[in-house]
Amino acid sequence: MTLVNVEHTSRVYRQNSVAVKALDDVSVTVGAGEFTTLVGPSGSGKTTLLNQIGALDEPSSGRIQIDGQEITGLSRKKRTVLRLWKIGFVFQEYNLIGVLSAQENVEYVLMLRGVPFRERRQQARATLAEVGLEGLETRLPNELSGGQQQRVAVARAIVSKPAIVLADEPTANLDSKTGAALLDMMRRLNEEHGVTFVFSTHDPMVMERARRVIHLKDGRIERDERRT
Amino acid sequence: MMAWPRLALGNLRANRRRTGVTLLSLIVGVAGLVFLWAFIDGINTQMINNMTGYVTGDLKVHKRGFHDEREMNIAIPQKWDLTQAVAETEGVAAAAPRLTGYALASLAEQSRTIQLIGVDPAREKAVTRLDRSLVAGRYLQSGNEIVLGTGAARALEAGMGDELALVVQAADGSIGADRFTVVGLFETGVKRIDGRVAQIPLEAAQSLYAFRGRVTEVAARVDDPDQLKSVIARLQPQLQTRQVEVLGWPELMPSLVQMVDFHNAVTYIVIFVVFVVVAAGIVNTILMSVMERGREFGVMMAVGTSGSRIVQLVLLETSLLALVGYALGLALGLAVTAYFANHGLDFSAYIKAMDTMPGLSGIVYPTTSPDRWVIIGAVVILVALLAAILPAWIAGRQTPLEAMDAHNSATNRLRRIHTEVTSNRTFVIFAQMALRSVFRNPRRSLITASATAFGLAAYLFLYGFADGFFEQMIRNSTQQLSGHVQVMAKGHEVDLSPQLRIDNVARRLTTLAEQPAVQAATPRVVLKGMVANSKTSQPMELVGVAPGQEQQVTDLARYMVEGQYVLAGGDGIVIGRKLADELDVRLDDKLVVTVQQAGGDLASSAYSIRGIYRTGSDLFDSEYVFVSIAQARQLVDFSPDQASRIVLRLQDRGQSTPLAQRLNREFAGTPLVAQDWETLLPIVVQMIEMSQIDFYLILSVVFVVVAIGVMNTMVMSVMERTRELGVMLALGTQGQQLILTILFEALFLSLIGMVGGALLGVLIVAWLARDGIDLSAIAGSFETIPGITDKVYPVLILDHVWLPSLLLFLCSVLVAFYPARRAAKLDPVEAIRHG
Repeated sequence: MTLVNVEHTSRVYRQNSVAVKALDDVSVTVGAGEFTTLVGPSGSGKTTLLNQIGALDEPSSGRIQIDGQEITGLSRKKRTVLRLWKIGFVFQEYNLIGVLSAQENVEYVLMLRGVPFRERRQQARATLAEVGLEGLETRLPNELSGGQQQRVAVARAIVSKPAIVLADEPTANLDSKTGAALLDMMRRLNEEHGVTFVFSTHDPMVMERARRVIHLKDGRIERDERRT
Repeated sequence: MMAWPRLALGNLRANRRRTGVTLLSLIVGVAGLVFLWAFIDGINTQMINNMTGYVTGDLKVHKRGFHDEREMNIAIPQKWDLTQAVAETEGVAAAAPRLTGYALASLAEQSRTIQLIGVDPAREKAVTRLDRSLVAGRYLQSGNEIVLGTGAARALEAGMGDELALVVQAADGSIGADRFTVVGLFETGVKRIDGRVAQIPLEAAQSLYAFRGRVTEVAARVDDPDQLKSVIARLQPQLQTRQVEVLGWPELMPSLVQMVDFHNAVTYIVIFVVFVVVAAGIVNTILMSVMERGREFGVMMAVGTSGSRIVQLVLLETSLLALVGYALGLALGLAVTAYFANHGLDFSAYIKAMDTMPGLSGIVYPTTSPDRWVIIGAVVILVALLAAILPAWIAGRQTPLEAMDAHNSATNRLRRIHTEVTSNRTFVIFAQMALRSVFRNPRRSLITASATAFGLAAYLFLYGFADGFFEQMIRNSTQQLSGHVQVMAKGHEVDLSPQLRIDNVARRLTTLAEQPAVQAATPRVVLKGMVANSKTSQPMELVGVAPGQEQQVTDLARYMVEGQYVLAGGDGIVIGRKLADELDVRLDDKLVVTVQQAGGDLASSAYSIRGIYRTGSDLFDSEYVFVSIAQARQLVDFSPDQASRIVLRLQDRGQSTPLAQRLNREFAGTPLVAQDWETLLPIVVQMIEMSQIDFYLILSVVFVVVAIGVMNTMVMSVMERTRELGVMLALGTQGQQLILTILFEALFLSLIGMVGGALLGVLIVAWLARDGIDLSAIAGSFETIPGITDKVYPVLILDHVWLPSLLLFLCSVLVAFYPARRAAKLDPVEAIRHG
């Protein structure tokens, strides 16, 4: 089943009145349960493509569908709703909400979805346990290590069971051991719970674990490599 | 060296929003101060200009001794030709001869005491400007003509072409009288002038006062009012051979100087407090903008910049900011001042009685001068530099890592405690996040809350001061003369005519004393008249009292400084200290009192001075003369059961208005009317209203400064959290939810500030209320203000402060809308990437 359908999508930015093509006529689909990685050098369009799929940005041309829903041309408010219900995000710099504890960060999305307190607290605790953070639920972000913060970010991304989790260079700020552990955990979530992951990365460890690697260069898909 | 200014400028340019917010607080603070000060100076200048411009002139030349003795015969012979000599002196614009005295003006059954000035019409026009205030008819030419103010004309029911009878005490001791045709009516807007001053041609005045070939003074206008002293210094030796005295308006009108002093004393306190509030606002902004840069300073130190270099850089940046802020603020303040200097700030719709102040009308024209700009500039720039130097110095002393991660551990402890306390499900999540955000940067929150607290505390103090001031004024004024409620014949409140009287006084006294709120009642006979000795005469108000009853209503008897109070059935007169000085009389000297009887005839009687009182108010002490009610009745030809007024003292002053209203309902269909103290004491009410103008302006300045402080914090807070807000948006948070969070944050900050400010303000007022604030060191005297002494005891009246406090609170929450809306409109991708 196709979860993401990107058709002839381009994204042009203007920098000092010079047009820069960050994505150039890209077409790609991502199926449910995939563990896909976007790779390529800096400026190849990885993050731009991720932002398009995540409804964080609008393409200059082309169309994108997520879980069967057309997202091109949606209003700001509708895109916000779509992100809330369909997409989970893991960012490079963890980006937890500083004033909320680990479990509150995880609960945050459930709270936005209107899940009752007791239920969301239970789900948050279970998800934190799933990512190996049992006992650290009440810690504030700046009381956690980088790896722990990124696990909280992963828990926050998967707790509401979104159609797809988008992770932008999730291991870039982690040491190799912590990064590997995090990737193993995400792979396990993919295999055991069928969570669909799309990464952008430079990290060979991520590429090693991916079942599909899409190579980007100068805003175009250079190669789409599937592994068994 | 040039690299540092470039770096400083670069930093200011790079952080445009932070620079903008800091500049805004400087601009608003400076502009507010410039305008407020100009407004206060405008009131003072206007008082002086109107009093000197319409009547007195900038200076007067008298025969030596005239000013002290007030003896008409100490006069200047016209053959000396002093007018020409004065007019030709360097710095004098024009000079005119005059004869000034008092007269009882009558038309039909109306009479009024007026200040009568005989003028040379052609010359007078160049010195004063009453001729330019005519609203009917024309200015004087010659013969028995008179121009008078619209107020006096109304009181006398006189119109154009009417013939007024003027009765004066002539220079030779005889009574002078003649008829004068009204040829013009003037209206200056100044009640004292419009109601009391009249002019006639000089020759006619000389004839009326039996003053041939002499004048009492030569009045002059100078080219530059600031050069008055040097012009006087030039005139003195020039006229030395003539045995004359040259007096500027400050010597001629000490009461005006005192009024200006009083206004200055009060406003200096106000200006000082506003200065402190503005300074706190600027400190708030600059402290925060420097504190936010811990990481930046850490990076600079890490690449080898010394701590002292960082301090220098911050001082350079702050100096640039302060100079630009000051220049723009000054420009804005001057622009606003210039606008209102041309158009006037019209308070006449709100302040009915403002024109009872000497020289003031309901429209204020602000005026400013460079010395004010220099003071404001020096204070603002110094405050800005002091605010910047401390955090920069602290940052400069830290290691790079400390600077980058300043106060994290202490903040963490606080946040942890707070998270534990607020982490339960009953909290609305956004309120919870907002509350925690307040604790995220406790130092910044504390500075903002302090600015709000300080603004509110300053406001509470100022209001407490004003309320204490007026409470004292009202209490003393009602105790000295007015009582709480007075009953009189309709019309007696504007014209103390003997025809307007109360009959059956004994029965009415009994009925009134039985009213539930009434503590005591007393009858009075009240008349306008003249009091004179062999040398001079003065207008006054004669009050006939029944001492026994009177002392249950008012307590003037407590203010006797010589002799005794009025004795029932006794035959003496009691006058004020000021009047005794003006008439140069002592205890037991004889005075002649002249009043108009009900039939229109003049009646005079001589009394010896039985006692002299002193209330401390010049106005009161020169105006009111007391005799026993029996003597007054005899003089004005009243029967023993007639009086002019019945004065009531109530158990509770707050019942004055309801009682007056109730009595007026009962008096419907009768010629009687009841008036509460507010109606009886317009000057007190007017001063309260005037101070309210000051307070509206102060409140606006405090509002703006506090609001900018809160907005500044919220802008900084949003800037600091751009990435986090971007993440929240990416996760599916709606814009309105972000707005809500930020508004909650402002609400909590303001709440903390308001509670702190209220506590601080109450404590300050309570502490100062114990011993009072002694203003004698600031103002020479408060003798022109009825009921006021040099010490003010502040009081806090909840009714007066809750609404402004609430508005201040709402205002500081509402200003957070700007940063909140900005946050809601963030592009999540940009916010996360560049946050």
